[in-house]
Amino acid sequence: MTRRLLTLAAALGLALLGTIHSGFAQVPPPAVAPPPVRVSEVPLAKQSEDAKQTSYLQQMFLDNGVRLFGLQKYETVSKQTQASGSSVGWFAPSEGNWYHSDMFDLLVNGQSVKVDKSTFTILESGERGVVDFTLDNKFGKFRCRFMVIPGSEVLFADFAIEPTVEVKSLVLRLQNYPSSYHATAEGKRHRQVLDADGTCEPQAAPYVTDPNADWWYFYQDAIFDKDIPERREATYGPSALVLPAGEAQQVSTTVGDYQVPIEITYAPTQRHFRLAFLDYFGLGNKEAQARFVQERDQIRQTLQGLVFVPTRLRQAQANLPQIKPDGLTGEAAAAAPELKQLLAALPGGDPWPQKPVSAEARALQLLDVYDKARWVATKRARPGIGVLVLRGLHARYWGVDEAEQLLGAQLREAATSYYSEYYWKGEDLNYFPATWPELSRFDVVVFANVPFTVLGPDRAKALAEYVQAGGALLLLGGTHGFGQAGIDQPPLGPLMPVQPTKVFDLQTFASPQPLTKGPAAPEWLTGAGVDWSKPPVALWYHQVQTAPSGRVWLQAGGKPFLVAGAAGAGRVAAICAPPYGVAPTGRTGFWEWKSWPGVMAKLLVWLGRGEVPTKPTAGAH
Amino acid sequence: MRYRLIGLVCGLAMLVGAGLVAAAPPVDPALTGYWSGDEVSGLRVFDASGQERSGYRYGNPTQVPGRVGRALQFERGDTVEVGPGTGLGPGGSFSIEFWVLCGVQKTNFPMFDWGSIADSFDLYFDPPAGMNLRLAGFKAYDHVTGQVMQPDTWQHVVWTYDEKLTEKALKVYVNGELKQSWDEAGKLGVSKKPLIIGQGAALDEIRMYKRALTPEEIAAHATAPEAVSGRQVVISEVWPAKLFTRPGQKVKLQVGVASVSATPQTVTLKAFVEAGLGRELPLQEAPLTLAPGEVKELSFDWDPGANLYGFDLVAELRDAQGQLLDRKSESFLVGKNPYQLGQYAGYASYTWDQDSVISARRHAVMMRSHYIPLSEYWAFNADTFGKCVPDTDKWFVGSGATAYRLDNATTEALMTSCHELGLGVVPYSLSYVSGYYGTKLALEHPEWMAYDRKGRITGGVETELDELMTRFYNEYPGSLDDKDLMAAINRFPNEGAGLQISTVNLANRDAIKYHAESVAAGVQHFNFDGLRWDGHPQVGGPGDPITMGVPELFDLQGKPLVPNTTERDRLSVENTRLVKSLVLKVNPDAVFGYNWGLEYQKHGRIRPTDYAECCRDGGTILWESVNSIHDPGSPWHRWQDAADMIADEVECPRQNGGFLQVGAFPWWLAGEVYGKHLLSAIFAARARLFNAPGIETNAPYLHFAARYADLLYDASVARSPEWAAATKVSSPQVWWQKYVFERPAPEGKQIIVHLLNSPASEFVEIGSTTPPTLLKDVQVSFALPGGQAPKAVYLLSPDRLPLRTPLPATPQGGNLTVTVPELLYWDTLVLQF
Repeated sequence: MTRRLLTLAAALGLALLGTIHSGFAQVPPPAVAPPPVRVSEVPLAKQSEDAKQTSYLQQMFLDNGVRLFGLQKYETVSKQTQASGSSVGWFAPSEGNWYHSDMFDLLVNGQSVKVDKSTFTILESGERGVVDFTLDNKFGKFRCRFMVIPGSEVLFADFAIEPTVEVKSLVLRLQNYPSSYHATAEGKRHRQVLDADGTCEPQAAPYVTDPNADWWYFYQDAIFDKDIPERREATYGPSALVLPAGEAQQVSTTVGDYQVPIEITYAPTQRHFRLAFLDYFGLGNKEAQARFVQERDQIRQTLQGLVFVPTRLRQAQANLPQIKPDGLTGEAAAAAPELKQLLAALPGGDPWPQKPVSAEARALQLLDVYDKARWVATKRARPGIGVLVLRGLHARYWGVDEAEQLLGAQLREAATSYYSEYYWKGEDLNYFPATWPELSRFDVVVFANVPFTVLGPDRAKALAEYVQAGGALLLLGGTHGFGQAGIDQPPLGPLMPVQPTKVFDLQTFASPQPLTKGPAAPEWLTGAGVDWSKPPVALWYHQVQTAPSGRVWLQAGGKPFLVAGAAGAGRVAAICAPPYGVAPTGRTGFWEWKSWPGVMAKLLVWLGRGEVPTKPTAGAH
Repeated sequence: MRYRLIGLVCGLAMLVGAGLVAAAPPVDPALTGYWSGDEVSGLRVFDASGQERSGYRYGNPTQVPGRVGRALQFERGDTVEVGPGTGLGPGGSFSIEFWVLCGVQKTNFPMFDWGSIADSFDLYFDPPAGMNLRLAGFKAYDHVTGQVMQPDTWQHVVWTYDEKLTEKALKVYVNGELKQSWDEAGKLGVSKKPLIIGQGAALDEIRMYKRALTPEEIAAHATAPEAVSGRQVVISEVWPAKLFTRPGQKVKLQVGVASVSATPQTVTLKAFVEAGLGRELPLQEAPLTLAPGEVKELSFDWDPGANLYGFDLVAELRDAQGQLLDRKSESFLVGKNPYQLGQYAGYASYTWDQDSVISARRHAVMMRSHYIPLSEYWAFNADTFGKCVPDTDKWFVGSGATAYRLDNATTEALMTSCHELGLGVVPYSLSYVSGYYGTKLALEHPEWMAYDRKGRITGGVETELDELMTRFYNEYPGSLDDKDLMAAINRFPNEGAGLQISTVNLANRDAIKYHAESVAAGVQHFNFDGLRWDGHPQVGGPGDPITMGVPELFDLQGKPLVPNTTERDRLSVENTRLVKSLVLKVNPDAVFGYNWGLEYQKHGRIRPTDYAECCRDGGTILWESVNSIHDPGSPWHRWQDAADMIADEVECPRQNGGFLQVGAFPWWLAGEVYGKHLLSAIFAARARLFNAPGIETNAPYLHFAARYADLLYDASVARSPEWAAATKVSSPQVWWQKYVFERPAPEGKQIIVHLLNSPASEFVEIGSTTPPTLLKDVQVSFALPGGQAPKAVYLLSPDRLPLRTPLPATPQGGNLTVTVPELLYWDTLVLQF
């Protein structure tokens, strides 16, 4: 519990801070209507292990500036049978209400389909936040899509079903613990569910309602209420559920003295259905009820009008004639016709009627292939460079900020993400592009003392594809760099210009070592634009080996200092000494060298565009 | 003090034998407070009403010549606060009376203020309209006199409200003449906020009544201010200037006597110190003559000699016939080590505004009011105050910028307030280098840090906060105005941010020396009274070289920092001794406390060797494992297990010459029932308490532990298996077996038996509202060795007044049976031989 709370608190803070800065001037965004929805992820990682099973946890944060929604997936693997199961819960803002570790179960013919492994992925971030929980097992393919839209405190969900068994019954079971986990201490029964017929008090038998008449449900606790001062600390606030018209057949609610299970029955032929979940976190019963009364009609209307199909697919569908295999080869050329065919069959607002899960997954896969193939041309056509700096400890000493300032108008876009790591929660970035369209806005991604390990497998794969497709990476060392960073691990490892020799690779020079030009140093680095009259020194270095693709441009004490190389259509560079130590009087640490920001600026341009300015960069501090 | 007053009023009939007798009625039963301006001691401003409503000075109100005797001069920001929660409030009918001397009024100044928005009451200068009395809940909120205050002359002002009147119920008189009246009706709630007096004028003879003074009384007071309504002489204050004094130092004890009679009065004042179980150590017994309206202050420099622990300063006033007019007492402590005596409380500042200075003083006042002799100052990081202080007078500390922002002014206010009131302050310090300074050190000396198995710097990294802090320090003080920066910093959660950056490399002597010197520099800079130190490895237990559960630590080459636990303990002892020696060099009286964590579960009674070093010379072990007994996962979730565990654990530091402290309870969740059971179990076990849960509701427990500290904390109080075997208690509900002690007291042997009533619930429920079943007539019998009868038997309890009652002690046939009439939570029997 403690760990979870801490993680949540930290994540809340991180997500709040996660706005992309537009350049170093940090000009606030124009005052427009609701901010976009930011989605970030804490990758799947081992949570606990005992003699019987291993548990894994993955968290998603969707922040629309009004509310931070935290969803998490638990995956357990039995050590005896290797059988696995997954569940998803809504753990922020409250851990109660929609149960934080398992808020729903989908029953086909009375059997849970939440077996075997699952995926939990970010689909969209920006105009709306969307994450998918997907199952693929003996019962078929199932997807629960959670959506957060700007300005709303509602968690919308859409379930898509692609069964491989004959469906005789279809039930969605929801788990709600109204307002609090504290319910039994006094043996009192005080959970309540309000619906159009009145108040349902605890009883053994379920309340069965017709969702066409009773389409909203409000869950509260009569005692654990924010308005009762002595209970204030022990309660979250009420919650609610809204159903759209014409989908469910029956809702069965059991009001217990602790838990309130809800079973929604659908016709066996139903292939997708939607719900709206509310959590009135922090509000007393009265105020929450008043708000719910005021907004539930609108919420239902919004729910019914939402298009859950991915925005990218809809946009591609709108531009169908422009999707052509012209100029493409191989996989990308083959993708275009199949993509066009799939998009042509996509109905207006609903998923594909047949195979809604797999058809959509295939269409997105094809669109990625197609977009990446087109990216080099897209990149060339746009001006300047976009730089995403992942900032770790001591990042500010690397001179990247000053370099960006020097770049002036050449810096088309700048974004910052901050790294954090605690032994009790693992490591995290407060921002990383969640999708290909988001990542492809940047020409260079800088790892300033940020390890690759923070990425997790999915983001590492996306980044490797990004480099192969023409993107660039710059590695800067430090306490979390190189050996500590796992930079030799696939899929990114083989693309790097250097390889670590060991984990504990940070080493001090016996004496400060001046920077010297390497055998492959380019003219823009060694020429007139850089003042080499009094070379700066490095005091520490990472013990690395140059990879076959790497070219040593600068050295210190005979060790590689700046190594650059190509990887696929992209470029990579590494500075293998950290800005550590105190330079003796009369010597200058390289990070304090007057020419350093200029070197860094040129390096960014070389990485981002494959070319460097012929004159010293314009712009001033 | 407050609860004792209530007890006196309620318990008049039962006061016998213990030296407590019924107090005479107050001067004027309706006089609820009287601050004459004549009696001030340090931060304390005495109340002459006899109602025990002395206040504390905030800012610097000074004594100046008054209309009668001395007055208090208040400049902007100077106040006297009474309360909070004194119950003082206009209620129904009331009068507010004072003499005021002000300059030409140009701006608004409050004179009296208490209450929240809902039960607001304030009276302020409102030039040019005169004065404005604002009363929430009345027909009108504002009541403006319409008369400009005369500058540079003493004026007598009385506001009266008579709830029985339907017309002109609210009146204001200036210099005895009615100036304005209002047809008002209403009733003010009794506020839990403090009454704040002050600002912008000199005020004298401030009196509040819960009745409307008559026009005749007002006219009389205006013309002859010495002669006010009332008939009596009262003890206005008994005031040990310091709560805690070290042996060898004189204890300044003050007694105030005030006459509010219109005629001269002669009374007899008896002042004495009561030690132990009623031992009187005389100060003075002599007649006193007081002129009308006169107040007399008596001050004694008392030498405690060999006496230690808890005492009462007692004053009794008798008339010529020997009849008791008034009796008041106040407790104080004498000891070598404030850690030893009961409880202590934590302090942290959250803001950099002026309120933080006031809140620092409030903290000191709160501690003093609850007999808490030592405060912990959550500075967290040795460097934060040790090295940054010369560079900046504002700084961040540890656990998230939201949580702790400290500055010189606040820290100095805390130190001076605490020291003036006789309270110690120790900073809480770690062997971490966190925040800005940790980031900088890791940059300059990566070899000073400790690394985990992955080669990462231990503890953690919060890059954005690191960068914001760096910007703060580099651009200080300009960055204080950077709202964006401050807003961003404020968004950081508390949790975890304090763990930024590394544990120090224990094996690197340069690093250790640097930190030890930093700690000592901080102690010296602020004149701290010692240190609570988390820089020793025992917190992590064997295998966890330094704190916080980081499983294994390495140096930059990937080698374990220490090869084995023996070496770890050796380095730790060295480290601890170094820190201790440097701190003692700057403060020879410094006291030390250390953390102790969950490793107890894993390793039983095996302590690393530095445990003994930490306990030595009265070192205090703070053991926090007990703070989660309300959690069903706690191994001590059963009340009895928790109580037994505390009772047993006490012995470990005792055997090594130190003390056990338990605490860090989730006080914000704690209910009264939980608090009382817990405090009983802790104090009866002779453990000390850190951060009392429910400090207001459990105030009697804190006072009890201070007053009878000798029975709880004297090193000679030891468990007595022999007496435990000779004792029987009639009720199985009572827990007592682990609480039978023998003490070779200075005045003869004492057998101390604590009786704890078992809770209503078997398991610990932190928010429980169900008190234990009240046990009546509990029989406790003792088989007296050799048939020797005790000289006296006393029953003590913080659950009722008086705290101490003598019981009949007549043995029969070699056995002594005593009856405890009522046991709610905790009673103590003392057999005095």
